[in-house]
Amino acid sequence: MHKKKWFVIRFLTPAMLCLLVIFLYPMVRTVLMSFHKVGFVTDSMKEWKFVRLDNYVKLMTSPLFRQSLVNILKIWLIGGVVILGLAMLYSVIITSGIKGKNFWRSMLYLPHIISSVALATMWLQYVFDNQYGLLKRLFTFLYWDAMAQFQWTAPENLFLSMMIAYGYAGVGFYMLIMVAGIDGISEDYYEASRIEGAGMVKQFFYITLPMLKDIIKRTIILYSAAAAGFFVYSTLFSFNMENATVTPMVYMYEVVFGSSIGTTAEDLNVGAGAAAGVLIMALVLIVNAVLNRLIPTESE
Amino acid sequence: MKKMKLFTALLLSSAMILGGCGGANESADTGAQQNSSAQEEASTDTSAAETAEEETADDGEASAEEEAAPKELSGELTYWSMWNDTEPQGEAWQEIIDGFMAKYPAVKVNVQWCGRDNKKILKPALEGGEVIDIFEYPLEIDLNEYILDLSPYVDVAYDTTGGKTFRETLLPSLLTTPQDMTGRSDIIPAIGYKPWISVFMYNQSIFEEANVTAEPKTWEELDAACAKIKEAGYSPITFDDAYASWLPGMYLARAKGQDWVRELVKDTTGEMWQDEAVVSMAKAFEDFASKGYFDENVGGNKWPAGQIDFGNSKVAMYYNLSGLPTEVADITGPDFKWGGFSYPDVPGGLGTCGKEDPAGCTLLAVNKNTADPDLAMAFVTYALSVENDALMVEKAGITPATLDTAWPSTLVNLKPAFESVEVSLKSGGDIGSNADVAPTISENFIKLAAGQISADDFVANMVAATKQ
Repeated sequence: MHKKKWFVIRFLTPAMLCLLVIFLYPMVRTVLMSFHKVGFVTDSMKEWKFVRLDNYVKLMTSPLFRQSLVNILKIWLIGGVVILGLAMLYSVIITSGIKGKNFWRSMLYLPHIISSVALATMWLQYVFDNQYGLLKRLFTFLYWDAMAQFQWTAPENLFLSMMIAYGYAGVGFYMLIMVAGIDGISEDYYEASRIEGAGMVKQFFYITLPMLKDIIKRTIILYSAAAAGFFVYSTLFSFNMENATVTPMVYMYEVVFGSSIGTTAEDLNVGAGAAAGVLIMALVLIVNAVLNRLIPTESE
Repeated sequence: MKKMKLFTALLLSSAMILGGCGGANESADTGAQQNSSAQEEASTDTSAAETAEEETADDGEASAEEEAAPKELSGELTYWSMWNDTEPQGEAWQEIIDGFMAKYPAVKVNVQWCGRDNKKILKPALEGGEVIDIFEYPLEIDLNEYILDLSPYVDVAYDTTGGKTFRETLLPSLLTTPQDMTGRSDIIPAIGYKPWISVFMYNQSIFEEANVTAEPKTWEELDAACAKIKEAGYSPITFDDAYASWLPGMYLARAKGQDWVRELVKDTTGEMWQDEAVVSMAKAFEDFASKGYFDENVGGNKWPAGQIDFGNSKVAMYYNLSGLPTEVADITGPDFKWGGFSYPDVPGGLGTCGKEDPAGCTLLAVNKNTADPDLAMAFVTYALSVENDALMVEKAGITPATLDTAWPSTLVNLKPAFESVEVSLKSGGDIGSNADVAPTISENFIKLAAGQISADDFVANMVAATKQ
């Protein structure tokens, strides 16, 4: 028994050490940093100045950070329902025995493997552009003036446009996971239900959905993780920070490195960035805990 | 088991955050980011060079390149550049580096093309003891402890200064502006190059066609010019989201000065936003919007959509940095006739048109720990010699740094605006200096210019957004 334990420890140690160095150390340092005023991200701890909870107070009183929390909630909740809902719909259609299953699956997954930077630029410059964009030309061609005049990139519509682009790239990924899950459900269940007279809708609610519970939970966790780190689309859809697209990660990057026009060393506050990071981490933990409570896994 | 779960959850959460950080993209880092500014005294008293440095001045003949290299110039230099080697500026720098090494075979110059990432990696590298002799100073970080005071080196004649001292060859502002940009007025912390100014860039052909004969100096003149341009069938003004707040910012800076604008954006009571200056500004732009002076697409313009409209001669004016001609060169072609005028004076304002404008430059600094400061300065002066400055002007379309460099045809009409500036402001009169409020100002101004909200709405929205 002792020999077996020693054997396990020897194999686990390198992985555990890696985890501690790569994840735990930065995490602890970030938490400590969030209580200090720090000039630059690599400054040594000797140069940090303890400021108690000032960074957290600053965040909570910052209208922009509060807006970023609202945005992330919208991205997570509304975006999540729409994107995962579409992914579920597509996966059910694709596994329903349609012709060219592999083709449709590849087509829907394809946007996910294109670089986010290229994809967001494509949407912004070629699709949403208010003069030469695809949508403008399409609606003009259809003589649908109201839609042709629609300013997709105006401040009030930018969030919607960004989420359309983000959803386009993301749906295929979650769909692929769900398709794999549905493929794993024994055909016997469906056959038996068909003999009993169940239609597609009943099959979905009484067979597919319950048996996909674990998969759905995992996709929600994956989506939550992606939403928590929502960054690339925000920065590509907005040259400077904007109320419509700012997320906590964008805010964090701004106060740590400063990317907006006119940023100077005085504007940077790495401690506030760290505090934002800690808050995001807390949010993710809460979401995970709630999900674990709401959707228990099969094994439990 | 529960503890294990908690631990795993913590690790996952931190992984998510780190993963997000890793996704940082650089798309927003455009060339339009060297935008700090400075106070600047145009009348620099160029005191005679008295520093006892060894003089290596040649007689300024064109054959200087072929001359035997002075023996003392040998060694190795490392330059960390804010450019990428594929950018026109990077290509020009590569030619300069090659030329320097060809002229002084005993010198080796290593270059690290950092791009705008230099703001993230310079400080850690310097702290870690990396040998970096010359670097472009990114204003987002504080590197004051690593810079060499260049005062002893500017009043000296070099190989490439044609018998003059280095100071005598440069635009005076390129020695004073870096002092203000870095907050070090006691030393010369860096040498400036690629000077820029923020003005109303305009299409001269449209002005001529619309019979606008003089550049507007007051708001009324701007109004009249816009009316003529509109009459001629063009949109008078456009802008992109990236620079939206500069128009109201400069209006307020003309009305009450930059310091007041800084106070305004830091106000947390909302009261300052009800000031007469803000109301007048909002009314003035509401008036412009109602007269159709703004292009119909300003409400949804995403950079560079407005610039493209301007480059395509659809719009007559675009308030921007003097680097705009380079940015839209592919659209305008070589025959585009550029003009530029200082932001006009506004009613009841301070009358600072032509005297105070956003201006600055790129800073070339020398590390105080460099092994051979003379060699580093020889390289800097070589790079900013008339010949190499002309190379940068030609290749990268930047503004000249030396007094003797010929101005490119695209920028020559902006020269008077450069020369008249007495006080350098920050971009948009520093209206973006409070990151928390800046997006709200831009958003509301875009709506105001697009005619979606009234001046009263603008003021009310700003009061509501800033009141804590």
